[in-house]
Amino acid sequence: MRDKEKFKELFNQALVKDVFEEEINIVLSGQYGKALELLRDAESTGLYPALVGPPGVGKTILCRYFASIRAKESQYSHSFHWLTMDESIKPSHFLGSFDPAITLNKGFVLDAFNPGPLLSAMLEGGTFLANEINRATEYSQNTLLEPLEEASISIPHLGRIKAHEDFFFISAMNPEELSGTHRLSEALKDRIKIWIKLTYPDKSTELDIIRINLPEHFTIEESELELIYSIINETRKNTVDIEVPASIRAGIAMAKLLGRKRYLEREHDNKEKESIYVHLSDIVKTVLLGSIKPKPGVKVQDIINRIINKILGA
Amino acid sequence: MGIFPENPCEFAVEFIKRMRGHPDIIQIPSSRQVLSIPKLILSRYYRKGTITPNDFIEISSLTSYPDNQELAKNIAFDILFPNYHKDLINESFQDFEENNGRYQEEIESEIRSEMDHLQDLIDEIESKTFDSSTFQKLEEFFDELSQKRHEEPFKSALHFFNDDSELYKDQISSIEELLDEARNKMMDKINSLDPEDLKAGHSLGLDELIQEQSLRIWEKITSKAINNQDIHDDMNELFDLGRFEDLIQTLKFLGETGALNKEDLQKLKNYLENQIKNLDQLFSAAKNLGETPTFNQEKVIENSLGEASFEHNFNLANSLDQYYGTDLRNKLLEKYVQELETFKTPPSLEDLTKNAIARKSWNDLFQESLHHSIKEAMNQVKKNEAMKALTQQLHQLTNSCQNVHSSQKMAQKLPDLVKETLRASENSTQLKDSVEFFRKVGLNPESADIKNLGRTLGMSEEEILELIEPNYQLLKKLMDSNQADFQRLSNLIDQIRDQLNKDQISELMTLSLASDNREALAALGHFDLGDAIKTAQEVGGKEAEEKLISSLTAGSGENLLKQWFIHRRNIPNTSKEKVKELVKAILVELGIYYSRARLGSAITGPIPINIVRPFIVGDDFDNVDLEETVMNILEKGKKLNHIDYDDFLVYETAKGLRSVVIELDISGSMDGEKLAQMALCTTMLLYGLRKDELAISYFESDTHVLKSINEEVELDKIADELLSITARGGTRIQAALEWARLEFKKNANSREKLNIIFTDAEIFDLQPAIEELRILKAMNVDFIIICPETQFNLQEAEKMAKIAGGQLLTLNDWNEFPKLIADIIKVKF
Repeated sequence: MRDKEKFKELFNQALVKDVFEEEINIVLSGQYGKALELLRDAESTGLYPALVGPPGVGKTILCRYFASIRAKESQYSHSFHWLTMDESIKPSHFLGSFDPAITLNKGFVLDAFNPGPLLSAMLEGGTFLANEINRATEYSQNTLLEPLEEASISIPHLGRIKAHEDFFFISAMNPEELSGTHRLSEALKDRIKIWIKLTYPDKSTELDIIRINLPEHFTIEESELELIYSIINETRKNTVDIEVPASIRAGIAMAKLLGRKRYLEREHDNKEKESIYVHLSDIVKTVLLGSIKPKPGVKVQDIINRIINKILGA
Repeated sequence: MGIFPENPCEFAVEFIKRMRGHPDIIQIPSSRQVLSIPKLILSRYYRKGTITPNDFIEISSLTSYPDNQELAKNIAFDILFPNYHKDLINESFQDFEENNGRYQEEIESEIRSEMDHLQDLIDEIESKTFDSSTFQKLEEFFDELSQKRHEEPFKSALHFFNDDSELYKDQISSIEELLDEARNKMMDKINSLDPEDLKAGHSLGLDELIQEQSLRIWEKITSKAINNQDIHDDMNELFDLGRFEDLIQTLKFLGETGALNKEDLQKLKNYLENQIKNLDQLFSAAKNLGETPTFNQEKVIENSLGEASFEHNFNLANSLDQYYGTDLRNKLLEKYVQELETFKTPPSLEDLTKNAIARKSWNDLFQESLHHSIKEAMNQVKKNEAMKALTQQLHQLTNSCQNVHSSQKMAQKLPDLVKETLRASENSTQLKDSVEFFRKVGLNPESADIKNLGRTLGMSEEEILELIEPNYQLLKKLMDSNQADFQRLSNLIDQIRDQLNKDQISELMTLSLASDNREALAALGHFDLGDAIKTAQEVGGKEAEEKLISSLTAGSGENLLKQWFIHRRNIPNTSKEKVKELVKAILVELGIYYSRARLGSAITGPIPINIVRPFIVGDDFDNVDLEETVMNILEKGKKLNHIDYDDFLVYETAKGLRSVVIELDISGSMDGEKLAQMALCTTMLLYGLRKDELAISYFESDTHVLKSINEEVELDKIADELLSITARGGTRIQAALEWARLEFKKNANSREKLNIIFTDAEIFDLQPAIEELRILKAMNVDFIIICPETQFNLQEAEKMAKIAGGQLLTLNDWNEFPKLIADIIKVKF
């Protein structure tokens, strides 16, 4: 019982009631500023956008930030719902489903229905993000056709509803050529009108993103940051061996790990700092192993060794 | 033209028309896009109060499907600025007239009324304000710019623009606007400025801004230096704090911007001597400064030795020697030799081989390392085996060593090591094994050593002779006496292959037949299949021929398969069928083996499908379809306490099937071994994916269908076909792709569709092939194109992959072909 009380207390403390209450650390320079402007353009013209980019370029955070701005500006659209797709997503995950216990007592009535995120967003005039939309099967993708074309949706047994005029839909996806994704159906493609490509950001923006993601006590030198960027960038230049290069997250991870090592050195009052090259060689091996995806037949370890050799000399 | 650089509606129509007609289009734009463009242009105008050509270009690109966006930008730019690169305009645009009429009709019928409404809004905006001077100003400014682009401040401001088209797009029409935009662009780059940016920033009077805003000490100091401010204290602080990387970056920037004169810069570089403590820092300094500054070699090497591994240090020293002319490797190796006792183990033979150089210090260190390895091997329980392994390692390292001098030095050590290994033999069997082993790997032990050791170990003179002279006579003797197995005989034949002539082969064949030595017959067959069969026929007629064929299974299946594809034309017709039957059985067996070893299970995980059935005990509760269940219970009118488990309905699950269609190019240069690997790969797939939907064809000028999706084939039958296929003709890919498309369309039921095509992409019919690829893409077919690494048309292969939304992979070793295909299938499903 005491545990249950504790859980309730913690849950309520952590509950994000409105999307605009949440603090979102985002860098809006370069492509992100432009993408945000485009989302605003899309919203004002009622054209539904898709954010297209490789994993880890900041598609989701941008959507959350956009939704929080909408929430601040509008009296209705405070809500932000999102659903990350994969093969197991079914239409009921978008729309909602009937509670079997209540339905058995009362039948298929409104009381028995638990709305899903898409339906909620449509009714509240909120923002709905269909994340990784090209991982969903065509069967699930088809659920989105009516909301996008007619701004309405039919709920079995209950009827058809019209979306609130403030309802806004965004989709996000990886580029098609990355393996493990389905293609968007032609019908859905035709209903998405704006295709905002996000790629790895320019150098100054990426460095800013890494900086703002470093905890305060994990400080690293600018020259160390420069080396981390060189390593990340090297993975993006090698399109022959690498299918998915290191994302911004990999850069953040390297900077955090290096920051932690430096922090520990300071804590232990080490007068002689360990060489950045030795630290980074270790960190690169650990982080890149899971952050890059080689093309079939290429060994990830060989790629990492080549990068270390080129950038760090060893 | 006034507010809008072009009429948005007319622009959209023209844009879509050009996109649709362009030969490089990947996804044909829909009619809906023609409305999205003016809508977004109007929205942006209402938000910003102004609209530039760049907005038109950006919006055209954004409303286009991602694969079309680059093309969209170019087409939009060409519509807005037809004179900018007139000569570059694609000739294919001439064809647009043809499509124009048809497209206009389509527009008119579908969306005319909404376009009219947008046009009214545009007219209203244009009628309120009309400023014809904007474009005149733009033209005048560009005239001025073209004359003064090499003068300041134009030159420095233009540094921050990629090209003039950016000025057009942003409608920059005055020097003030140009400077403002350049300042903004530089602001965005602060904290990642390069030396040229800093110089341009200085010319534009932005030093103060850089010094205020930058987090990077080298940007600040360089900006100060360019601005002739005193940097003495800043540099002293950097040196005092020992912030080595900052110091190096600062020196690099000071050098590259020319902010300091050569003497002053050199003075600063000289101070680095005390700062550079190890090879890492020396490498960093050299990489950034483009030269090695003065450094204390003794100290640097001494420090590095204790801090990092041999390989790490050697790689750094190697890079420095190679690119900056130092002689660090030698010094490093000398130091290692000097201080060998400090280290418990010297660098490994492998590390030293990888890092070989033609120096005495390397020889000394290698010698030390070898001594250490010998000592370790001799301490093993099975010292003969350990020494054999060491000798083989040294032999392999000798062959793989890139440095000729070192390789020779290593090779010189091999005879002694071979001798030591023989000496480590404790009985005659070990000695024989060692001798044979060395011969097999190409090392020939000294006869005198074998003789002495053989005698010591109590071997007979005859036994010793066999060990000493692996010559034709010995081979003959072994075949005659039926004493050796296939492997031993094959090795012997390989060793004396250059001495063997037709008569000798004939003699060996006669002996083997007479002594009914099947191992010997197999060894002769695997050496040269065609000749062996002919010789057997000549020596002993049909019976001998049959005996030889029936012996062939003794050798490796893969080798026999290769022999078939290499020599099949030389095999006499009388026995061709029999040999083929044998090779066929081997092909099937190998295909099954490869499939089990490489493809794993043919079936993907359970996937819910849209069929429900009553729950049965053991079903996964996650698969209960609540809605259907409730409906079912309500329809039956059951009360809660009457509900039983079979009232619950669950999704039926199915094992996920996959559709794979594979087209393999057998044109031109596909010789024996390549065909053997293709055949192997094909049988592997046929077996491994037998529960899936699989279709395979070979193609050149024609397409040869081996299996359709809906066709049940016997592995045997396909193997038979595979063994008869010959490489010929040119590469016509369209028909093969069309066949693949029809397979997916008519016969495939699976959700996962994968098309793999192997080709050298030297294609005669690319254009029609591209149309097929577009259709495959529209059908949601995953596409992979594989090309041999050394020989293919990269441009055409990339284009095909792009249009099909697929992936281009290369193959560098033919033996890896079945593995690569297996890897793709494992990754894709």
